[in-house]
Amino acid sequence: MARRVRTAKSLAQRIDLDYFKRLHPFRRWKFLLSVAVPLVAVVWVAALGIADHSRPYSAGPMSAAHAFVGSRCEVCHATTAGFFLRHVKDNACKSCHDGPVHQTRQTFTPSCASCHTEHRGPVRLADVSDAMCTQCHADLRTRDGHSRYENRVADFDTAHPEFAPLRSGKDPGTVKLDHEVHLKAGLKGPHGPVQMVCADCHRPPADVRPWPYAAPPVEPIAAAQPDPLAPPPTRAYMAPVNYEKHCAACHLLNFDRRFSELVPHKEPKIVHDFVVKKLSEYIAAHPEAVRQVEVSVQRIPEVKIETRPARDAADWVAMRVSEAEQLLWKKTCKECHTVKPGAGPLPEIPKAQIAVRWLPHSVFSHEAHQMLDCTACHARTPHSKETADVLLPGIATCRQCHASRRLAPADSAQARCFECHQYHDWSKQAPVNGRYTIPRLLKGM
Amino acid sequence: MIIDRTHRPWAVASAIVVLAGAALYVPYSVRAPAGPEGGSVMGLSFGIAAALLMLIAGLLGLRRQVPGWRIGRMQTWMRAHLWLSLVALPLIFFHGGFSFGHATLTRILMSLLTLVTLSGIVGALLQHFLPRQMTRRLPMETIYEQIDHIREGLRQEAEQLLAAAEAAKLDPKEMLLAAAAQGGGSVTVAAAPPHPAVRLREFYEANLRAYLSGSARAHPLHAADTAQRTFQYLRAGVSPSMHETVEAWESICEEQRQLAGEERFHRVLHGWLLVHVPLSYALLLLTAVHAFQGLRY
Repeated sequence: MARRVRTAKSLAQRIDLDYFKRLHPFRRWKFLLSVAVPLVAVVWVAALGIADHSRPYSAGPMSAAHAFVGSRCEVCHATTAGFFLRHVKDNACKSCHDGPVHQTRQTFTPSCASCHTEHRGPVRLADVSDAMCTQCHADLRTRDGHSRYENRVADFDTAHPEFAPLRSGKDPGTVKLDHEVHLKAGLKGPHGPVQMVCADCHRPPADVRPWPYAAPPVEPIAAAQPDPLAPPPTRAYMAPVNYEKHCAACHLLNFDRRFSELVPHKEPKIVHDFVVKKLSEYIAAHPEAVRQVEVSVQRIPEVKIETRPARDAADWVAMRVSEAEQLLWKKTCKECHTVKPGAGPLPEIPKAQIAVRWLPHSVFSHEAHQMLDCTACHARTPHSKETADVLLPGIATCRQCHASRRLAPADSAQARCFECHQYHDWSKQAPVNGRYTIPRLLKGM
Repeated sequence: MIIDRTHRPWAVASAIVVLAGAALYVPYSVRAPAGPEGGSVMGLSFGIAAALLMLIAGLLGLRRQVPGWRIGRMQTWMRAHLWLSLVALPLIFFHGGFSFGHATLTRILMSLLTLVTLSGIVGALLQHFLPRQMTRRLPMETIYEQIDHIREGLRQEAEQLLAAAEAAKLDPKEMLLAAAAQGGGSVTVAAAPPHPAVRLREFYEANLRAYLSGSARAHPLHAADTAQRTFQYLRAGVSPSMHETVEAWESICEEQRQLAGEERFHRVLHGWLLVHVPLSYALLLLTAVHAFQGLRY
């Protein structure tokens, strides 16, 4: 009977020697798929090229500000070197909006796209990374080698200097103001005791509420016809304290008991001329007063009252002017101003120099912080007696909330450079000559 | 390909390259003003390096198509393909800043890269473990493309064995014993006893032909224990002179079983290539498109 014999020869003889000439189904499928799948990719790329559709190659979704561009890549990616290169150049950005230089003495000017990175989705392009700023400000140099600014600023949390007014340590204003007195309970007001609060004097321009304790005895200088093109008043910064609005109701500028009028809150020369005019008008209307002897009704040590009768009207006016100006220069005006002897008979009173904006190289908004009590940041104010006290909060106050390194991102207010500083000097903004039509901008037609 | 100690230099070199890349990437990603970007100098460097590695790895396909192209041993090419591809993956992540891409093309590329890499890793593991399994469990394996041809040969061999058994002259005593076995112990004197090979013919027609011709896995003879019992029963029902034929048939069935097993192993061992190879070509093609458009814009 047959036995099954398996030798190498018998096994080899079973093989069809031409098998390699025919493609096995497995190899056939591998070949077909290896052609078909790349072919699909080629067809897709070719279709995109024919349709001039570049969106599949986009690095990411556009910001909200540029979303209207859609898939029109050439609006920003303008052809530069022939067909190939379409890098974004500053000219493409400036065709729609200007970007004024930061500082004329800076050692280099970064390109628009290097700071304002697009294709990151609906983010605000002005939210620039700190590294864009610190690439210069971490070791600040200028073209001429001299910088008047702090030259090592790396981040807000740990490597930012104290605010400049606090470094100098002195308020340059010359108006004497004791905050502690003004904020105490039972302060004497026009119609009885009052309890003042910060907002009685410190208000943004947009706050037009009347002063709460009395109508101003002096009408504020009427504003010129409002400019319809001027931007509306904001609530970012506080308007400077104004005598007519905030002080006049309590700090009256009386000069003589015969008159209810107040001297104008102006330079000494104007005040002098006003007093002379008023008294001259009075004596002209009441010539009998020349012979009357003045009785001192106010005991003011600094004011010397003439008790002799005047010789004539001019002498009477001179005597009364002297008394009035003694009252004003030695008491009334001196209450708030530093009155210095002048070159002539009239004193010199330095300008008030009330700081309107303490930090001109940054932006700040009180409105964004309106949920806080004033003294939460201006902590020293209730106890401040001296004008020289700088009551601006220090950087440590800001860092309690604006601390991106110390606090978790979700618990920290924004602490990046752009939150408080602007790179572009918008005072040098140049107009843009628009060159697009709507169809061209939206559809390229 | 067995991943053995000959791969150690490749693994060490790959680890060094990846660690060096990481050492460059970490400070770059921390200091980059806008975060790591593919278009930055460092990002481009990573991208170019990864693309070159993928291109070199892809040359394996060309090398296999031209066996006479004697540039390096095939084993070296295989190791290069495996390890360079693995190194390319982290470099791609360094290039893109570990982003999966925001645009259609980059997402397609990352998806392709993921599929190609995963299928390659699966394939490498299969190629490492399965061949030894096959050697141990399939001693009768043959050339995969010849399985159908061999299977036809087995069927013909089984038929030839049956024909030989039917043509054999048997001892009358044996025939009586065979008849008794078929008739349950009694023999009718008047009727001529049937040839013992009739039983074999019946078994062949009822079972063996179908098993050797059709889908092997669905047949009862595919199960080894069932086949063993079946052939034991058959052996008991035929004369001893037929036992060699039965044993030969049993061997043929075992070979058929192993051929079916080889088919299954082969599909697992090589099926991943139907995913890996086409997607790799697409990946290389679209990488070129991505590089062109990226540098352009």
